[in-house]
Amino acid sequence: MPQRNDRPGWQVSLLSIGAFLLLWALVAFIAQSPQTLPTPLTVARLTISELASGELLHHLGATLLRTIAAFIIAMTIGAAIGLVMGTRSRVNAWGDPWLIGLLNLPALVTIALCYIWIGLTEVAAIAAVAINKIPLVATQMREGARALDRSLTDMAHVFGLTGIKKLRHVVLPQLAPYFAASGRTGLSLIWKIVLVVEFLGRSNGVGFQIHQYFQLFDVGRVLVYAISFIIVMLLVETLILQPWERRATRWRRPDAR
Amino acid sequence: MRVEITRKAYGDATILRDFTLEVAPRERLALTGPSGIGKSTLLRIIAGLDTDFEGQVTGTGRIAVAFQEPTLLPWRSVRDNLTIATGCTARQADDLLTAVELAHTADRFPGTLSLGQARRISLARAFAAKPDTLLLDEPFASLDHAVSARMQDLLLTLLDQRPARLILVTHEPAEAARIAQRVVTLDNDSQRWTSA
Repeated sequence: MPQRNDRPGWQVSLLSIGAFLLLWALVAFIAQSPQTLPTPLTVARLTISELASGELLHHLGATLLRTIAAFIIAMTIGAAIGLVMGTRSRVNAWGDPWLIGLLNLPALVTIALCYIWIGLTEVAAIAAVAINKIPLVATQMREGARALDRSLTDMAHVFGLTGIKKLRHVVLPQLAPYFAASGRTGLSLIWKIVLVVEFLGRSNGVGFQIHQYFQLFDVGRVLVYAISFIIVMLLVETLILQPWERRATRWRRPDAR
Repeated sequence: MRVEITRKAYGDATILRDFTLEVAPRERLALTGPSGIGKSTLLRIIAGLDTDFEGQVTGTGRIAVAFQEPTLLPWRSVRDNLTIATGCTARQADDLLTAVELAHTADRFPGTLSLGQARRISLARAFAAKPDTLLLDEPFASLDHAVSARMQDLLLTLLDQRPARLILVTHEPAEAARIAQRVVTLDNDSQRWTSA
């Protein structure tokens, strides 16, 4: 018997976004204060104007590049640390206090220290963001490494699977759900920290623009940049992360072939 | 191949002691005995998975194991399970899948197979490694009689076509008698192994 697909489709998501815009418009209409809360239509007009001037794309691009760089660095280093800590108890015993310390280090402190020690540079900005995220990735990947299937490790040993081949075919597929969870939470956290980094010490990017328009009390343009980057992140989630996750976990589906 | 174990213990509990076993090339040996007596431990020692023992294992050559659980990579196709683990070509993998009568599953994921089918894939993978020593840990357990008998037929055919030294761990005296040329049974009281 064919199974019914009871999952709500994209139409529901569209309706939900429509309801949010309607609520926003209603509150803006009641508030009658365009400077404090502009209507969605005003923000849309401002977005078109920023797009036409090229400013929006320029700053979105700068923030996106920083986000991607910090994301790749944090995921790579965090995964490596988590994997080693999850499989070697001695390393874990030594590294655990460091990890707890870093997990509780406020993002602002890391950003300030990186800017002071390295200077107001791109390297410092990306390093500060990556350092904030690495402990979170390491913690999640450590859990993944602890859950590795021992019998598959034995199989790999017997058949002489080592190094990259073992990592690619035996270890990483088991860590895929942890990568997906870590990637999703990581991306949302990283871009928020990137904004703070730009706010404090860069001359371009969404964070820099928000800083500018905050000083001018231009709520409309603050919303333009914030919403635009949320849309970019939603696109990354929908067009890159979700298809990758579907592909990585397709063997779990009952109809997998 | 020669196995000499002076002592193998888990904590204070001695599992194997003063144990020696020699298996000739292409010989088919069955290890039997009650559960928990150390058969699987011995297999893990020979496979190199357990190195925490007093003694030595020599002359095994290339080893392949078919574990009690099939231990296939669920995220790789059946064919890839053979090629990735053993380095054999896709053509060789397909030949072995044909030999275990599962050629039609080559592109499927292991999760879609029954236990009996997965065990046959595991057996095909072990032969794909072209082993000098083949270790089988209760490969017919939990299978119904007909499936078990069919798989034993396949094993004997594969051993005729691709000879290897076989060490089979089993609870079933009938399986041991049918497949092995020599049966070694663990004596529960003395914790020593005796040949029969």
